[in-house]
Amino acid sequence: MKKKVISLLLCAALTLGLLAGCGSSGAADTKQEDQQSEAAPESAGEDATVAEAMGDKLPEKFKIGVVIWSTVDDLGRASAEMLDYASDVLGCEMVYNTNISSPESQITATENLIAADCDAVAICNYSDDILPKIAKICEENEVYFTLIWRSIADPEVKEIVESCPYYLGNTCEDEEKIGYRMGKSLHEKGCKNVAVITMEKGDATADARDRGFEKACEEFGINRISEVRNNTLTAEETTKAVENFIASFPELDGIFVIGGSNTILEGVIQALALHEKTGEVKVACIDFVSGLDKYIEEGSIDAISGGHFVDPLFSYMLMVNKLAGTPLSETCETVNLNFVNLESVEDAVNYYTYVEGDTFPYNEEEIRSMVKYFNPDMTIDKLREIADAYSVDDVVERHGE
Amino acid sequence: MSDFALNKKGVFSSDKIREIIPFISLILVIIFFQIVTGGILLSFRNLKLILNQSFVLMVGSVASSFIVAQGDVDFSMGSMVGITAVCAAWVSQVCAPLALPAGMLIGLFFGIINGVLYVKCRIPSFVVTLSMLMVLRGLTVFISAGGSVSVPFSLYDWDNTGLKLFIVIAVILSAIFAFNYTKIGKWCKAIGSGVTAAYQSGVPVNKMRIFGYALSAAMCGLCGFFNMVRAGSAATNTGNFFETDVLIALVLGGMPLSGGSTSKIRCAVIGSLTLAILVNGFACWSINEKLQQGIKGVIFLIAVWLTFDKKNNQLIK
Repeated sequence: MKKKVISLLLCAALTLGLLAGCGSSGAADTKQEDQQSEAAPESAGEDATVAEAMGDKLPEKFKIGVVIWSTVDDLGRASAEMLDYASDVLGCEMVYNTNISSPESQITATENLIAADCDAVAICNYSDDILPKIAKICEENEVYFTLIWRSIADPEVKEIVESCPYYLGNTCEDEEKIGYRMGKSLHEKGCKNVAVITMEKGDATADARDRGFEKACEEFGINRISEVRNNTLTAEETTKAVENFIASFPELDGIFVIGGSNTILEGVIQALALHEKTGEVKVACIDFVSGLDKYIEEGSIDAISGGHFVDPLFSYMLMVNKLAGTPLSETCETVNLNFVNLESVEDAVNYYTYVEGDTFPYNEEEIRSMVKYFNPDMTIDKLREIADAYSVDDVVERHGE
Repeated sequence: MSDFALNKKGVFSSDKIREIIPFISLILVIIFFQIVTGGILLSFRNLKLILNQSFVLMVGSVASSFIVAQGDVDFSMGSMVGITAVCAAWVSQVCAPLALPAGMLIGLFFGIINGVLYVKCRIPSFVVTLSMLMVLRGLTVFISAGGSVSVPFSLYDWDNTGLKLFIVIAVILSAIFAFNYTKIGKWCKAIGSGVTAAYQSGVPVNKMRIFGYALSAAMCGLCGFFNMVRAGSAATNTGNFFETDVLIALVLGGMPLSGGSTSKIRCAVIGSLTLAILVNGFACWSINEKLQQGIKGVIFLIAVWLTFDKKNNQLIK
C-alpha cells in the first residue's frame, strides 16, 4: 500500500508539473507577435488616435466563455486561436468548454462556464430547442450570451430568446445558400449521381446545408444515391465509407461533404486516390482543412467553401462592447458572415498566407477598432460592414504587400 | 503471531483501505478544486449546479448497481435514456403529466427485453446490451424524425433543484434498503459472488437478472425525463455516452465490476459525486480543455488501480 501512496503522490506531482507548464496558448502568442510586427508599420498612422487616450487594454479583464464542439479540429482550432488572439489584444480571458455530446451536456457546459465566473458566454447550440433554457440560465445569473454559427429558426424560440435582456445576438452564415451552391457546382461539373457525407439529423447547421443541397438536387436533377450520417467520422472511417460508395454505386460521379472540418475531407480524397477515381468523382465540401492549395492543384477538390472561423469574433465583439459599457446596440443583433470560396490555387495560397495560417484576418489595430471603447465611431452597422466585406480579397487588400 | 491473525490483519488492512480510498479521493478532489477555484466549488450556487448535473448520473449509477453487483453490465443505458426522453417528449406534447410514466414504462419494456435476451437466449450481457445500444439509437433517430423534439414550456418547472434533491435521496435510501436489508440485494450480490453457488442455494438467478435490467432501464426512463426537461428537448444524441459516465462513476466509487459481496450503493453515490465535481471543478478552474481529458484519464487510471480488486478480475459475465 505504501508503494501505491508514493506512486499516487508522484502522479499528482507529475500532473501538477504538466499543468504548470501549460499556461498559455503558444500558437496564438506566436501569431500575435508576428502580426504585431507586421501590422505596426502599415496601420500605425491611421489608427494611432484610436487607442491613444484609452490605453491598449480594456479597463477590466473580462472572462468570455465559449461552448464549442472542439478546439482541435481545423475549424474549431482556427476559431479558438482567433478568439485567443483578440483576447490577448484587448486584455480579456477566454475559456472553452467542449463537453457537448448532447443537448443536456450543452446546458451543463453553459452552467459550468457561468460557474467559472465568465462575464459572457458564446454558444454554438445544437438546436433551437435548448435556447429557452440557456436564456433562462443566463438571465438568472445575469450573464450575457450570444450565438455563434447559428441563427434561430423557430419563431416561438426566437421570441423567447430575443426577449431575454442578456441575449446580445448572433453571427451566422447562410447555410442553406451554401448547400445549394455546392449542389449547383457539382451539377456544373457534370455530376448526376452524388453521395453525401453528413451529420446525424438534428444538427442545425448540417440540416440547413442539406436543405440547400436538396433544393439544388431537385432543380438540377441530381440523384442523391446514398449518404453516411455520422457526427464523429474520422478520416479512416470516411475512407471506408467512400470505398463502400464506389463498390456499391459504379455510377457515382460526385461526393458532397457537408462538414469536412474533422479530417473527413482528407478521408474522401484518400479513398478516391486509392481507387484511382480522383477527378472522375467530383468532390464538393464545406469547411476548410489545411493543404487545400495542394488538393486544388491536384484536382482532388472541385468546389470548396469555408473560412468562417472568424464567425465567433463578431459575436465576441458584441459581448466585449457590451461588457466594456459601450454596447453597439441596445437590442440583440444579427451579424451575417460570408463564406470564402476558393476557386484556384492562388486563392488557396492567398488564404493560407493572409487569412488562416501564420496570420489572422484582422490585426491588432483592426481588432481594437471594433471596440467602441477604443474607437468611439464604431457602430453595429460598421461591424456588419466588416463582416460583410470578409473575403480573401478583402484581407489581401488590407494586409497584402 | 499466528497465520490466522496475519491473514486477518492483511485482509483487514488492504480491504478496508480499498474501501475508504474512493471516499478519501472524493474529499481530496473537493479540497483540491476548492483551493484552485478560489472557493467557487463549494459556493451555494455551485453546489446547486453540481446537484443538478450529478442527479441523472447518480440515479443511473445507483440503478445500475443492481446489475453490476451481479457481475453484469448494461451498455445500453445511454440509448435507453435517449429513446425514453424522445418518447416522453412526444407524449408531453399530447399530455404533459403522462410524460414521466411513459418514459419509465418504455424503459421498463426495453429493460425486460434486455434481460430476457440475456437469460433465455444465453447471449452474454455485454453483447445483448451493446446490440440494444445500437438498436435503440437507430430507433431514436427514427422516432425523433431525425431531429430534436421540443417539450411544452410547462414542463420546465420539473427541472427543479428541490425536487431533484428529494428524488435522489429517495432513490439512494430505497436502493440502500433494498440492497442491504432485502433478499433482492443479497441475491444480486450472491449471483455476483458465484452464479452456480447462488443457483444451487435457491436464488432465482434468471428472475434477478431480468429484474436488474428492468430496474436499470426504468430508472433510465426517469433520467431521460429529467434530461428532457433540463434541455427543453430530446434529441437523437440525448443520453450520449451516459453508459460510459455510469461505468466511470462506479469505478471511481470503488464498485467491483466483477460484482459480489463487496458491491455497495455508496460506491455509486461517491463515484457520481466525484465525477460531477471533476467535470465542474475543471470548468471552474478554467484550465485548458485540451489538458482536461488527459488529466481525467490519469485520475481514472489511478482510481482503477487503487480500488480494483485484482484477485477477482473477471469483469463481464
